Amino acid sequence: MIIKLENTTTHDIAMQLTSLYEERGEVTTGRVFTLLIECSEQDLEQSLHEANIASSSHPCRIIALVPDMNAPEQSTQLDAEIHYGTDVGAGDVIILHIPGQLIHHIDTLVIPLLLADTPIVSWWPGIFPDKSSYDSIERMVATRITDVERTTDLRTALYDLQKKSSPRDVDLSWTRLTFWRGALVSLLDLPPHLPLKECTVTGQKQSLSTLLLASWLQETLHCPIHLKWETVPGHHISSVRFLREDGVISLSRETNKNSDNVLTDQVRLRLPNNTNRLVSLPHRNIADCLSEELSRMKADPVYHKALNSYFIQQVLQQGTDLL
Amino acid sequence: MTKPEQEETITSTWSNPLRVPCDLRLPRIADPCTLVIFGVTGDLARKKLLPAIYDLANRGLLPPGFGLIGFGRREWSDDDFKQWAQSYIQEHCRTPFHQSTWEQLSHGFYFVQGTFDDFNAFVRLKQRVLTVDHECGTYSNHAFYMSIPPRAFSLVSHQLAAAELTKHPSDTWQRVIIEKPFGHDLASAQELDKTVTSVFGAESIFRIDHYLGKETVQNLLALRFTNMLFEPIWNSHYVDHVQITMAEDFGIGSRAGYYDGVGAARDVIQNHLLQLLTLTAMEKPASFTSQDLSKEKINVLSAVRLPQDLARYTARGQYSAGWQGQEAVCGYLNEDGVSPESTTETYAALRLDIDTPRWNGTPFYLRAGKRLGKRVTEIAMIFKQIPQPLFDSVVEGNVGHNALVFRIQPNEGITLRFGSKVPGSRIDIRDVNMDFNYGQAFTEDSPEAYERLILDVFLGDAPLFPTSQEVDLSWKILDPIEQFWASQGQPEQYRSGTWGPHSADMLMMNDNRAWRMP
Repeated sequence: MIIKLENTTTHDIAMQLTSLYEERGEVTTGRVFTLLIECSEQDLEQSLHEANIASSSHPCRIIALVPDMNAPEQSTQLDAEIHYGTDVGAGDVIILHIPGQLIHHIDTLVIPLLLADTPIVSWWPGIFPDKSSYDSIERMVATRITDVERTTDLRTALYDLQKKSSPRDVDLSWTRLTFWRGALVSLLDLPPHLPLKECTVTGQKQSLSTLLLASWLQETLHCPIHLKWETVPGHHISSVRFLREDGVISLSRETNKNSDNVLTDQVRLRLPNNTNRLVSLPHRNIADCLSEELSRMKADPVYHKALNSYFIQQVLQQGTDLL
Repeated sequence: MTKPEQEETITSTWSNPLRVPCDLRLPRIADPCTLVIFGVTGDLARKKLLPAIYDLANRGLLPPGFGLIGFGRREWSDDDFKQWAQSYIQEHCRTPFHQSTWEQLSHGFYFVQGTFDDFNAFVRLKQRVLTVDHECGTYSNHAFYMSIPPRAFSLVSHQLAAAELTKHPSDTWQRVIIEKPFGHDLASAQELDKTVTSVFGAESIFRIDHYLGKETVQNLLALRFTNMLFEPIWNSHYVDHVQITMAEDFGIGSRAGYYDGVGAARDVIQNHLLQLLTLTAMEKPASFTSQDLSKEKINVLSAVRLPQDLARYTARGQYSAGWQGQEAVCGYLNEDGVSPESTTETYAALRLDIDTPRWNGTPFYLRAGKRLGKRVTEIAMIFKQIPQPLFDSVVEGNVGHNALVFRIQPNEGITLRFGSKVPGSRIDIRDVNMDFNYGQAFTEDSPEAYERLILDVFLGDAPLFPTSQEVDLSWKILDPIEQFWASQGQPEQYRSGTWGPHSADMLMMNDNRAWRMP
């Protein structure tokens, strides 16, 4: 169900929510946090869809902030929508269409709409946000989740992430790696536990995930790490190959597609003892990643170490062909 | 230094450089291993174990090297087994079924045909285990799941030993998982333990009490030991009494062979309910390791005191014919496979006291039964009444007993009950409930208890498994009661679909208390 409120006030929106709860005998106390999403009009539907999936495991209030590019520069007219009922996951959704004037202080715009005494998480789908909105809510949020996946200028985005993010913030490029990292840990668990000589990470250009994985390995393994770029488009990470004293151990993505023409979630495992077989390494969609972040909401020192490593500095300095 | 020696040193001091303590995000992925399931065609295996294995694979929590060998009587090929397993997994898995995940997982599924008394079958099993070690890269780590009646434990253990399946290189592990019942009294439990320990080391035995794998049970510890709110009132000064209930709304079904002669007390009180009691009553453990946790649980179990008058403070019953909701159901004595003279109880209730400073004077009432009003498991802390109430209605009516209820299943959550003013010009007080619903505030897809426990076995992480000492102490509590009951003839009949026999209500009335209606 959708309620549209044109030229409204935050006070009216809040009142409307309260009366909706009373009417339906609902309580807001089951909701564990407020999720702020800032995105463009064309990204809105998809982003809400992802957030709704994530909200089924983390009931929350979602406030979507959509800058209105067509509004006159001086406009302060606020239009809003409230979505509720079964089609919006386990929460309720407030969409705010924000004209130019209001975009510079979104904090005071959302404060009246936040759930009482629960944490706030913000998420910018797809691209690194504009400085003003990223900074303006820093003090009130528990975690700022960014995602530079669709950013065309990775160099600048990476620079922004290094300079502006606080220890509690995270980029989903890192969350996408969780299963890969888990698989690599268990790969090294396989005996014999001989020293590693070198390691090669192969992935897509412009993929922060690939860079972060290589950087993490560099920080933890203390052996030479090589970065190679994939020539055909595909997964963020194509393969990781360790050269151990007894030979090569590696995991590489299969490019097989299943009957639905979707890339399978299998990787090929190769070991020095001639082992060569497929193992499962599930792909992660945005909702999975978001869900992982929402259940954590705490600083991840391992990520920040990888993000600010000497390795990444070197890559940044080595000219554009690496990014 | 020669080369082999060098390798030796590296292996013994090796720790995975990628695994750092502050990396809390990394999933707990188990060692490469093979799981051998005895009784793979049984109810537990097809409805719980196999789907749990699939869900673990789907969540990316199984190691790259994983194999599963089913051992059973049927004349099956590996492919027959896979096909059969797939149908049950598809029906019972909790995560979405993906063909590709299944194909990759089932690649490591094998079947060995045989009976427990056939030594050759175990020789074939041994050969198969070796092949799987090689084909799936499971590095001689083996877990044996005894999803079989306890009377077969001894035979299977000895066959495994005879086939040298329990021998393994020093840097690998062999673990055995056994299910309740862990014996039927103290002597048989110790006998069983001796049998299994003679083949597997004591630290390799994992006793599954699936209640401890439930999120809400673990949440009981989280709630007690992370909140300032509850600890100050968690004692006999404020708590009047505690009720632990496990009610089922179904009968014994086709389990007469197992259930008759066992009864409600041995079936669930000895394990599930006493475990819930220890978690409710124990002091804060020094850490969440199995050693520290078990130490505190043992302290509680050792301090349990039985009532002097067992006739007054225990009750048992048998369900009689009646209606379970809309369904006409037969009495226990008319169930298939049950002797018409059976004295097995389908309902048991008892009072226990815990002689610790914290609980001195606060009785714990336990009840469990089949064919009761509804299916519910809960722990209810009933608080004392306020000494000098300001308002008359507290004195007059039955209000003012605050309650904190942990709903273990279904509808997991916590209810807090307290008195509140009824709107109006008079001061009337009525009890109201404040509800925390686990499923509403957190994940819908919390892992199934068996997923968690199987993963813990693979990881060798034991805090959620009862130790043999806990099992023994639980029997020590129950044995005198069982002996007393054995001399009392037929249990009292109670109508199906109700809340148990009259004697159970009398048990509470003796103390001027009443059972909660869950």
